[in-house]
Amino acid sequence: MATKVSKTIEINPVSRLEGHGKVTIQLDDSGNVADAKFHVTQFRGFEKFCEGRVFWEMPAITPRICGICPVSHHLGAAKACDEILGVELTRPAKLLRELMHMGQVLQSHALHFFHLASPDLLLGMDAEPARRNIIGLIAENPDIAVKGIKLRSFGQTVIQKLGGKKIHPNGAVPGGMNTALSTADRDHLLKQIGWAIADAQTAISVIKHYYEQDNEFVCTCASFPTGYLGLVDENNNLELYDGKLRLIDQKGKNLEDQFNPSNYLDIISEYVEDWSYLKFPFYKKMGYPKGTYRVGPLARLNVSQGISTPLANAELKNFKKLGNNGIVEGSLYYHYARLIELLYSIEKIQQLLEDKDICSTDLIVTSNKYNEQGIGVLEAPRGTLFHHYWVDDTGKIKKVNLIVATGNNNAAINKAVYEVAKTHIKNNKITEGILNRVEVAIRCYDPCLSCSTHALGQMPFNIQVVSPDGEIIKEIIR
Amino acid sequence: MTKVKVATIWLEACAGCHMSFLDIDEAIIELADKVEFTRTPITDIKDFPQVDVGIVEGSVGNTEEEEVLKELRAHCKILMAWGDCACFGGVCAMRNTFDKEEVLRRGYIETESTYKGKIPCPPGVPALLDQVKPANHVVKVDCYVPGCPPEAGAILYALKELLAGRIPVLPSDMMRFD
Amino acid sequence: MKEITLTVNGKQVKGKEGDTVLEVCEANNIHIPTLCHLKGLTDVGACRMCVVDIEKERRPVPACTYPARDGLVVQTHNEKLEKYRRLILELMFTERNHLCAQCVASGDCELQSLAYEYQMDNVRYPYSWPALPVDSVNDYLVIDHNRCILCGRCIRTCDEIVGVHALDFGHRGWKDMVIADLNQPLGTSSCISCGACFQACPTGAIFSKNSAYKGKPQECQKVNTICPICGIGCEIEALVKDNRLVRIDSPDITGKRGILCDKGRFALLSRKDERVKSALVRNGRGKLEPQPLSKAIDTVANKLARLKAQYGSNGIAGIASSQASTNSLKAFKELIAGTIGSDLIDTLDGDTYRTIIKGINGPRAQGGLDIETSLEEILKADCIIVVGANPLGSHPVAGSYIARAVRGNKAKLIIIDPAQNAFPYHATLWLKPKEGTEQLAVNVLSKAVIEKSTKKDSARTKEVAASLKDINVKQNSKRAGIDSDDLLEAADMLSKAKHNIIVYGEGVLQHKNPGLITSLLNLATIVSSQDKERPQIISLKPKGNSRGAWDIGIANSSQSIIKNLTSNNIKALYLLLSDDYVDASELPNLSTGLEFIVIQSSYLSSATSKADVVLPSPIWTEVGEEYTTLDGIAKLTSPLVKSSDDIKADAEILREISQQMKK
Repeated sequence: MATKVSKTIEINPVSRLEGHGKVTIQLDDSGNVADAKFHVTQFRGFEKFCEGRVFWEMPAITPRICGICPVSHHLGAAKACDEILGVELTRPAKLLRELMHMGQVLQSHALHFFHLASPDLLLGMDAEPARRNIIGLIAENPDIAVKGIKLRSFGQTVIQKLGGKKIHPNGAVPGGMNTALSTADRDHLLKQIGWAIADAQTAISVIKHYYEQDNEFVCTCASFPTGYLGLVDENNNLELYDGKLRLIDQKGKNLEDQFNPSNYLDIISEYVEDWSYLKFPFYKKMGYPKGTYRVGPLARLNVSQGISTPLANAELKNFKKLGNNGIVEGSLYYHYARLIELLYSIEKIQQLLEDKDICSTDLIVTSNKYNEQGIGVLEAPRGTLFHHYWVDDTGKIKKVNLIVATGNNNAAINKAVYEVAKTHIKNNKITEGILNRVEVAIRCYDPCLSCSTHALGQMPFNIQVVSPDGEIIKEIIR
Repeated sequence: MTKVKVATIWLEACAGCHMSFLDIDEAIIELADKVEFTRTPITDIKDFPQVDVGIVEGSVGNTEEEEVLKELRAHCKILMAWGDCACFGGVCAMRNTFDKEEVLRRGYIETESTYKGKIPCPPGVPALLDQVKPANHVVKVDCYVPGCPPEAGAILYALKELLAGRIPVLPSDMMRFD
Repeated sequence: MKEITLTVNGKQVKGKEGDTVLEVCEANNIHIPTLCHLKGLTDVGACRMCVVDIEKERRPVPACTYPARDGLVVQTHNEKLEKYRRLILELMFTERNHLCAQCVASGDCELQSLAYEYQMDNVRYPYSWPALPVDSVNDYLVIDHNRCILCGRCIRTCDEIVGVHALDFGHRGWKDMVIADLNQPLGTSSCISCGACFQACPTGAIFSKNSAYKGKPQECQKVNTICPICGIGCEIEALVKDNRLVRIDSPDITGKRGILCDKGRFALLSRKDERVKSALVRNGRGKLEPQPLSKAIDTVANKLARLKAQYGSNGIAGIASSQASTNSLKAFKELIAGTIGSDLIDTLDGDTYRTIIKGINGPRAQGGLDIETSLEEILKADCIIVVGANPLGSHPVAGSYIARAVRGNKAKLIIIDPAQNAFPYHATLWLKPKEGTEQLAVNVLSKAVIEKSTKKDSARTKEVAASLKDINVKQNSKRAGIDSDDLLEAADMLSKAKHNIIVYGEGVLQHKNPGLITSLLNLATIVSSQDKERPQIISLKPKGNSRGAWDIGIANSSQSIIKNLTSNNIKALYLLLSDDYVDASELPNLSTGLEFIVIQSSYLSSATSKADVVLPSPIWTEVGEEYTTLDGIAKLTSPLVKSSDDIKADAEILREISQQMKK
């Protein structure tokens, strides 16, 4: 089916990054794509309404930014507050923070792959929408669905053991962690490692199989050059909790190497478009939009030279082969990168649990003097997350600046949508399947809150064909 | 047996309630036998199917969310609110003690990382309401599962009550606001 | 008291005349929800949660303020009352900005528990969302007005229990809020940061910076012990999680001696001083380096044995801080006076001891510190004289007893102090003698009292009167720089009061004038009620275990050792500081002529950096030991947390050194 369109196509909603998102596609006079916009249509105002609170509350308030990766905000806030206190965490506290973070990476990546993305990949992108979700997957391939549910549940359990709750946990406080890990819980968690690694490897084989089947689409779908940003350790290995920033260009050349994240304002700015509530971060020295960079699993593996755990590191070598100079561009490879990180998170959980200090109770360092600012930066599952607070000398928040993980990918998501639209809309003709392709391209980036709708039911799509004077002349509904 | 049709939406919220629903883990398999999760009602007003149960996560903070919630209400027999945002306003309502212009100005003009800021506005994005409101201050809500997020057990309890034909009211020992 | 019988929910229950309906119900295990009620405080009926139906009353009444009467018929629960209560809760949630999810008190909040109990899963009324301030200026406490329900428990606690009355309601109507003094930030007000308001607050409106988010009460273990910091001997209930102190509460906040102070409740939790984590021994290059404890003990024992052999017993001196426990001090005495056999032993507060004891024992030859009265007497007093002391600062709980007696008993408060009015909001009269004439001022006051007294002939009075025969009230008050009318007014108050008490402190003790102590004792003798065995006088001693140290005779009776290191030809010094943070500035002669310095201390300081060996001390929360309160009661503490394996009790280390030396 082809439809004649004029001027503007609206897809609403596409996803739910902080609520609603929608896509509009602008056509030129000849009916080809002139521009495509991914609008984020929700705004809550954390940067304002945290003002006047005391900084101790920030690790409790900010997780509510996102229910999918609350731990990232919880820990990002706690890290910023550590800087405000001006304290160095004890080693056991650092270990527990990282363990909680790994639980989060595991649950979030598992959720994304099994609950959200795998129905597309396993059931087919053009499968009946009502089935293209986790429940459809349960019916179709209960084995893989249950694996996904269990892996996510394991990650959530790690979080719960350290923070009391699976979602919006309480464990991290300014200066450390408030709950020690019991040896019984440690032993229980350690027992899960074996099957978890096996299941993660199954997932990797599933994605590889998928790539083999539909190689052309995979290679071309929303593949475009950008810069890549992520945290790395001192040897440029993958680091998710506490490292230095590395920013490379599309060819892999260093733009910023071992950059202290606390100086992020020197290299990152955010552009604002009046048609989206999500800002567009860019590399300051190159300007907007030239300085567009990507974050998240694909970007992180692009900036990393190695991974500190053996199985994930072996897989990284395969990943690097997919790109020129080890730089992988295709948006669909986010899935593979994500699963490599999922494997890494499980291996890392094991390493951390086996550390002699993991059950130590020496967890909090305190101070009654407060620095004027604190900056907490870490790699959330979806990318680099920045929390920056200014406080007065009584501990009250004066200002807050946040750059959320998905924000960093905003320009890239827009670009991905544009690329897909260009392929599927030519001379006023819309190719069938554009809806799914747009959805798939966006979902690669796993925009936080992307689609729990999708996890439960059908992600609704609606293309409005709008005449120049604003009249809806045709409507496509799925 | 006909399945109970359920539609869910989330408005101004973090998705934590939906995530907590997924924390029922394998119980979702059993639930899938009895419940059909239909599409989420968003924009297509005319073709939106009638469902038995509508579920709303999140508070109402902009014109689009208000519209969506009213549509859901019009198309469901029973409307259930999930989480503190939908039940009470929640964390989103923290902005109610500020003027909405101030909040937008901080977000899009004053923030230190913002370059050449401007405030997003319709038609690209929906306009903010003056105040963020809980769901029941916009439409009639039939039952509530508060919590931030509600525990998976509480969500499952409420769904099972509905399947048994009762309007759920959480017992005191299952009530949580955090 | 007369027993009365009421009918509550159809059942006959017994109560006492004078009880409220709430009290009768509570005594009979009938649960009525409350918020503004806190046992021990005056009830005000502010929240209306406890409304009950009473026969013949036209509308529901608050049970907390309704007097129980014989024959009263009460309904505590019915559909209408439950509807009202739920409505009240909903209105409370709409009045301010209650966001439980991120609240520090979630899980430990009476408002939240009641909302759960009443299954308040939504709020039907419009919210006000007022823009309210958060006051974080205090070092320890935050007042978040967003979460305040205006129950007034903090205000009543501050007034009725603490006696400071820093808090009250300010503004009117819907702008009503809790304020400190004349609407100042708490941190700059007359608040003494005792934290009683924090413990009394039913919500998260008042919280502690240092305990925030570090563990909910239900996750913690509760351990009761005694706070040994200042010698008052307050009972505390510590909340401990994962071997870490989360919060310190009073086990009975509205009880007679329930209040704590900022030092006991908060200071420890924010303490940042670096601990001595292991033994440190000065190496060949002159640097202190960590060593295993047993090796350091050997080093100390060998060195002390050698120095003793070389210079004799009195070549070695021992000085202890009176902050150390009695167990530590006894072992210290055993080592210094016993094993080493040195006469040169003292405490850092020895001067104070010598002044007091000379003042007491000198002319009147009485039985030492036992003549002092007990702290409890302050609470019963109707006239208090505070001399040269700032109890609210140095011993805040004692200060609170005084403030409370003034507010609760309407006690008169007389300050005698050249420098400061320790109780600007409480003092009835401030006598301000010229510097150096304090003793004269006290003597003139005694004389004025004697002249007013009707019982001039009692044996005690006669004796004192004889010693004051040369004093002329009018002339001498002028010499002391005090208006004689003020002095006579003070004498009048003392004569009329039934229960006078004198409290003195560092301002008196710093003069090292035993005569002033004697004069105070004389005054106490003549103004104390005849039915009291002892003169009603009490000194606020400098350290937590000063009384304990002095009682076991560590303080030197004749001289200050720290000041006379050189004149006594001392070659080695053993300093037991325990968990007292002592700076080198307090130990001026430390570097002169000493061959060997051992310091046993919990904290690193400029003093420990001068030592040749530093031995680690636990802090009081890590051991269970004996301390003696400033009024002479020996109390045992319980350990709250475990110290690291490298740290042993002071007494254990001291005994090991003794044993090593005896070998």
